[in-house]
Amino acid sequence: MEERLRKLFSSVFQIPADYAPETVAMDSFSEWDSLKHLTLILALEKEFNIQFSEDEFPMLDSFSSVLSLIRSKSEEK
Amino acid sequence: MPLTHALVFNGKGFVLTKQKLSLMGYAEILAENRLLGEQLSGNQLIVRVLSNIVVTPIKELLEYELRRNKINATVVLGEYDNICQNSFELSDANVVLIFWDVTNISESFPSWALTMDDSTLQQVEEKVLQEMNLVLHNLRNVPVVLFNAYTSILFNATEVSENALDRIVKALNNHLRSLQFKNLRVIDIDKCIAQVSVERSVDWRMWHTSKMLYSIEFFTAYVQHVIPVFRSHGMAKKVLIFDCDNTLWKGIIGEDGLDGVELSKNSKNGRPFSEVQALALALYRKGVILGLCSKNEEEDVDEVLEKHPEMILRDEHFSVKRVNWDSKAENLQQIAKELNLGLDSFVFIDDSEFEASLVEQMLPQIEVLRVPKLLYNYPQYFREHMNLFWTGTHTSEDAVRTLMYKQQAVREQEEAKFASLEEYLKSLKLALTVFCDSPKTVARVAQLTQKTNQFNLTTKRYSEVDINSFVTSQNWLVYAFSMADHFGDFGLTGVALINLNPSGSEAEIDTFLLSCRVLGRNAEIKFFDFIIGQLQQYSVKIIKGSYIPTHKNAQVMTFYEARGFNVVEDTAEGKTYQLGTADYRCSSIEYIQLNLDNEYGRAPA
Repeated sequence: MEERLRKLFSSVFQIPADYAPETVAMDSFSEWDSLKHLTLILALEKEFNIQFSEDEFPMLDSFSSVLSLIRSKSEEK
Repeated sequence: MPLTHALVFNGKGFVLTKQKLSLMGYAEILAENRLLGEQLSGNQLIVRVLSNIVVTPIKELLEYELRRNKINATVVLGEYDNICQNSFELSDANVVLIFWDVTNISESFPSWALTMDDSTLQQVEEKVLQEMNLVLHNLRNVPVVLFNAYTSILFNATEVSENALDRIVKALNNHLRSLQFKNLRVIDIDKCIAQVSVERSVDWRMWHTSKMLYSIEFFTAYVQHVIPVFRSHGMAKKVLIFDCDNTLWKGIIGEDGLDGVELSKNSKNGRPFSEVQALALALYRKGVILGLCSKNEEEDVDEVLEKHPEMILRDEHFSVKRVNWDSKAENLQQIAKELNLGLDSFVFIDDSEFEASLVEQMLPQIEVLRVPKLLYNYPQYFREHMNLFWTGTHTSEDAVRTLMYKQQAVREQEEAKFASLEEYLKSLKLALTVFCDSPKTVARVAQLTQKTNQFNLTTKRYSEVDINSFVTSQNWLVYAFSMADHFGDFGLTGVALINLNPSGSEAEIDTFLLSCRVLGRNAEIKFFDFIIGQLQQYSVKIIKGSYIPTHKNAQVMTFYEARGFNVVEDTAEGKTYQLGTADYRCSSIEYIQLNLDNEYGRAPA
């Protein structure tokens, strides 16, 4: 799952595949604007076949928080 | 099944193929789009999107779809709800796309509209009309402006009567369609919504949080709907090439004969074909060049074109015909040369997965269509692909064009053959299963001797009783094979009946036939090699064969010559051949696997 997510981040944010995931967070990463945030959500939902509630949108603010949220959502299923 | 993988072998190497948007994940599209963008060079097409709603996904989806159509496009999104402002500064755009949705004409407009009195509604309408005029005036020098028609269907699909929102939408659209801007094309997005459904076209959660009204599914349908407009600038398809049997009519002319093929609009089996012919006639009248590429005897096909009372398309409608037994990829290349048109302007339609895949893989520039297995889907499938030929306008010049191409077509052009057919056949993973004197094959073997006309060296007809007696006889060998490839199983499709003399030193090939479904794969050679090998093992010294001509089997006239046999007699009734078993040269085809049926094994006397 982590590998798929890493690939997805690379596609969404147009960064090399060998980036360090901990460096990618909404606050510190200038690429991550509100439109990219939408793109990220849509891509995640398709890729992992899950749906986020609107309350969860703001929680998706870094690689690690995304990873833990999709992990817990995938377990719910 | 259409190919869905991104890489296909085209005979020379692996190339990126046309992977459908709807089959891909969004992240995958983002990645592929970036790759395609790096590969393409040359003139850039700049598409600017103006919108009063958030339409983020259209950038990547449209870019990807254009780029895979070899258009080096960059899609630039305007600022949110800045249609008028942005329209002043778009001098570099080749195409402008406008999403001006009633949903956001003002905050929550679809709901508030129902509370507004007529004069208030009138004021809203006036304001939008003025802005619309301003925007289109600003964009008058942009080559193409795509303006989505206003729609109320998202809100009113369950509303019985026409309401205020319907009325204002209708008024705005009437105005939009009355405008005389040459570059303006109104896109009816209701058609896209209808394809996806109202429910799945919108994402209310995203609308609520981010003003993004439409779903990815909607944008996917939308992009595919507008793509012909982009292709029409020099990239529309111009040529439609039909296979014949089970593509233009139901049945196989070489087997079923003129009276046996069905294409009447009054018959259940014929109707879909009749309808497709009518649609093709409509394309012809718009200037699309029609052609034939079929594995058949030319005179058989000509007979249908001339004499079949239910044919809608006649000889005059086909600018080019290639009716022969050569590879279709090769024939299509020749047609392109004749017409002096690029293969990328071709569409080819065939009912055979084998032929369709062969063309698709060897000539990836061609758009290949497949006759649906369920024939009642055929007309709709055909209709849905007619937009490949869309050019926006059609002039009398278009109609004349077909005639010109017909004159230009010079027949019998010798072209260098390309060597990759074998590569293709390899990729099919062909496998034969051979049966010998097997009781379970009797019925089908008899049927094949009765039905097979084209690839049949002697055309001797046998009943089940006959075949059964051969199976049990010590002097006869009844060989048959079934064939499969990675698309599926063709069933029992080849037969050889061998008659041995009493001492077993000579063998006569009484019958050698293949069903037309499996031609063009060299299965007959593999099968023949195998049989001769068996006869060698049985100590047969001399093999005899014959060719008895009929008006259907010209294609096997030189079969024995090609196998290295010597002609013994050559008369009007036919030719007889002979070869010492030891002199036979096996063709050693490695790309066809040969298995023995599990009950195989009876040796001759």
